[in-house]
Amino acid sequence: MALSRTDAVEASLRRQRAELDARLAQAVTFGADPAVLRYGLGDVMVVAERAGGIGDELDAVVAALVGQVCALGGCGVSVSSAERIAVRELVGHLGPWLRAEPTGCLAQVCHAARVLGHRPGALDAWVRRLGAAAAHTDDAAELRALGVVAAWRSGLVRLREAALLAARGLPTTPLAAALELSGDVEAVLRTNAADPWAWPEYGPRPGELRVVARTGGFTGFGGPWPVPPVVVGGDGVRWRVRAGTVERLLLWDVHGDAVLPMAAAELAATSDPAAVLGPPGRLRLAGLSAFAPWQDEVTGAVVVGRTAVLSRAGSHHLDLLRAGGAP
Amino acid sequence: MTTPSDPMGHVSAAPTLPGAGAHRDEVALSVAEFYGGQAPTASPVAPALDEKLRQAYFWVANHAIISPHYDIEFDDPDAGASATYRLGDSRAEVHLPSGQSYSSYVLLPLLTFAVRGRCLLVGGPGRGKTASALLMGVLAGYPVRDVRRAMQHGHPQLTVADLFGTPLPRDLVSAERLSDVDVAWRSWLGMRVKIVDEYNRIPTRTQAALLTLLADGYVEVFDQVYETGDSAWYLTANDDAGGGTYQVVEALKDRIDVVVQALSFNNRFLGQLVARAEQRVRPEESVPAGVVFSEAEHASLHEQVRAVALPPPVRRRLEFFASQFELAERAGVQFEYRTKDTARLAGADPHLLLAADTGRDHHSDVGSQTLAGLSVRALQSLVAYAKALAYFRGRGAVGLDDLRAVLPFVLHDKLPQDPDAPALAGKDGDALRTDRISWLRGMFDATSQQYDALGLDTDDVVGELLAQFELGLDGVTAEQVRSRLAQVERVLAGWQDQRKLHGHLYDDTLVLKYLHQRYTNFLAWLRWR
Repeated sequence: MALSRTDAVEASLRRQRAELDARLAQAVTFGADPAVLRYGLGDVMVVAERAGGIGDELDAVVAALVGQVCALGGCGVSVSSAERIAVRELVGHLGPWLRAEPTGCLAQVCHAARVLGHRPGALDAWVRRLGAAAAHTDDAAELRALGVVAAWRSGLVRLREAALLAARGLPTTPLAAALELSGDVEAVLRTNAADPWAWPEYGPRPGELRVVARTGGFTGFGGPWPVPPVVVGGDGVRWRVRAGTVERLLLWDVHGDAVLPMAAAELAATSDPAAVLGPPGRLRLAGLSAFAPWQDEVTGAVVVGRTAVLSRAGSHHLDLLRAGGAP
Repeated sequence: MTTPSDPMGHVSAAPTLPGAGAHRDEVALSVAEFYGGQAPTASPVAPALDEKLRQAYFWVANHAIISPHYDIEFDDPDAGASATYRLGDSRAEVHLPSGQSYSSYVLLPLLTFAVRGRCLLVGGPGRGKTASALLMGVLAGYPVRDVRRAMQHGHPQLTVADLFGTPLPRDLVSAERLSDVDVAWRSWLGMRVKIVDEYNRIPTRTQAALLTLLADGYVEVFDQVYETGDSAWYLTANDDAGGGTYQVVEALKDRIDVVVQALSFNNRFLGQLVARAEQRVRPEESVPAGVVFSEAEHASLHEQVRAVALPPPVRRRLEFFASQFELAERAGVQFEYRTKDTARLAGADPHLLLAADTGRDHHSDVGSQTLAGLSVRALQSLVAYAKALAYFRGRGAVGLDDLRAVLPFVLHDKLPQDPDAPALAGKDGDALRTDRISWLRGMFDATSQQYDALGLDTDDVVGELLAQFELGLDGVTAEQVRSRLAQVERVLAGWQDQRKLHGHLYDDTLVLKYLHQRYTNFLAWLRWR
């Protein structure tokens, strides 16, 4: 009778019991919470069962997982941490990558999870998308690249360039799953590379003008701006923003945003509120006009193609005004 | 980053200093950065050496040495100023810095490793001085056993032969000339990290031999010379005042680049000590491979540190600070000899000469707080360590905060304090007499404020004349030379009877005399030609 996956994993644990027990004991010695370790060991069973592999390959996976649990426990990681979510929910689906380099895969996925964990909702979205994409490939390098693409799609705008580059070498089916797209994925990415706000079923209809996105917020409520920001310049993805006496770089595309603590002096000061203001109470862009969704003084406006970023005197947010294509 | 199977093997993930170096200029996140520096299956991406140095620091500070002290403080301008709290009757201030700050006890030995300098670790017994030095040897790639065996232990019977090696007995018998005698050199001489434990217990005669090795990088026995090359030195002493069995010779003390105090153990961390003892865990035996530097990396590290720039504005402030200490107006008649060094060579007490200089504000004049000036060697050490710290913090150029941070440790034993100085009188002075670090840092801050008040960044006529001279004399006509000479004389005439002779003015005056002399000689040559 063939061993079930559960039996195989249990057998692997028994084979390596002495060494794994020693690691766990040492982790406790160095301050790991035994409760966290217990939860982690439960994860080891689940993940190892999903990841596949037999014999020495399985042993390496199990040992790496236990090692990762010890390391995370020793670092004071909690049961609800980004790393645990990634290990429990995702790593099991990355079988080819995990079997190829158990320790490296775990380290990289945990690091990526920590990066994504800082952005609300990004980690869950990444786990979902990469998990879906992983079902369509059995190549470790492709899984790694899909992780980058899925992370950008899930809001990590700083990965935009790396993701667009990585996407070029990926097969269509897993790529579409990572991006949650249907249809001509290559065409969508080509368009987005030229127009960072172009994405299927996103934005205004042809002939329509409206504010499609808002970013920012007051620092007192967790946002990046201590005073109402003023947009100074931009190139479509990078926006130069001034708040009081400091300047910051805002990266913003259809999938996410990030405010970076650096000036962007190379972006020319091209702000011109008059370019987007129509008759009182109305906005205009690319030949289209619409009612302004607020009553406020526009302090800055930078137009790039069919996109404009606006700042207002009474708001700690920046608005993205988008004109739909020709009807 | 290596994924640890045990916490001791944990190496901090890159970047250890977010925004440092190239990262600050890069908007886009790379794949390697997203995944923590790991490359695809082929081979891991090696971190840049400054990142590796920082990883080594965090491994030592977080896992090896239990050192919760963060006495080298930096503020993050984006995060704002540090918070300060005042405790106790003395209103002792504790700062919570807003930027990444460091423990001197871990950082300075590591910077010594980077610049191949000479670090003296001082402090009471059992504070981890030897353990810290041992770790530096392991970081250099030597096995722990080799480092322990290569460590030289000071004791009153230590001879030159014990330190360096002995001639082969058969050669002593059969040799007709000294050069025929082969010396069996001690293996530690060739190591890139050299450790001398309790150096103040080495007899004076042997200290003199050690001095040659420390200072010049070679040792000579029976006419045989062994060139040891550059290495990082770690010396330990229980009492930095030179106590112990023997007085440390001044020349040897002067060769020390930096003095680091082993701060007291915080008893709230006793549990970690107990756990280590129970598990027989020894950090020096668990150094992760990812923070060990190969010989080539060590050499490259040193080169990269040397390449860090020292911007002119920072250099000027250092010049201004250093120029405060040599002047003793009443020590001589000729201008060049009005120095503390003149007084010391004549056996006079610089304190008495300084005290006799009435009309000078002894509280604001930092020069009146020391018995000697700064040597060239001290300045070189200061620049080297400032560069090392800037490199460690991922910067391509030394900042004023880097200089300020290392200065007290480098000048700890090089700027002798005058304990009877008026500025150190009173209750506030008591603490400054014992806390050399704060005393030195306070003097640097005071001179920085004076520098700003004088507007020397923009109003520096001597600097302009010096810069003009450094462009060279090719093509300069006699008329131009006369014009420059007149300019020098005008500046001096403007200072005459107008200004108090402070240390920086003393240096500037000598610079003007130097320029005048150079131009005079050149003019004579032009006339002759």
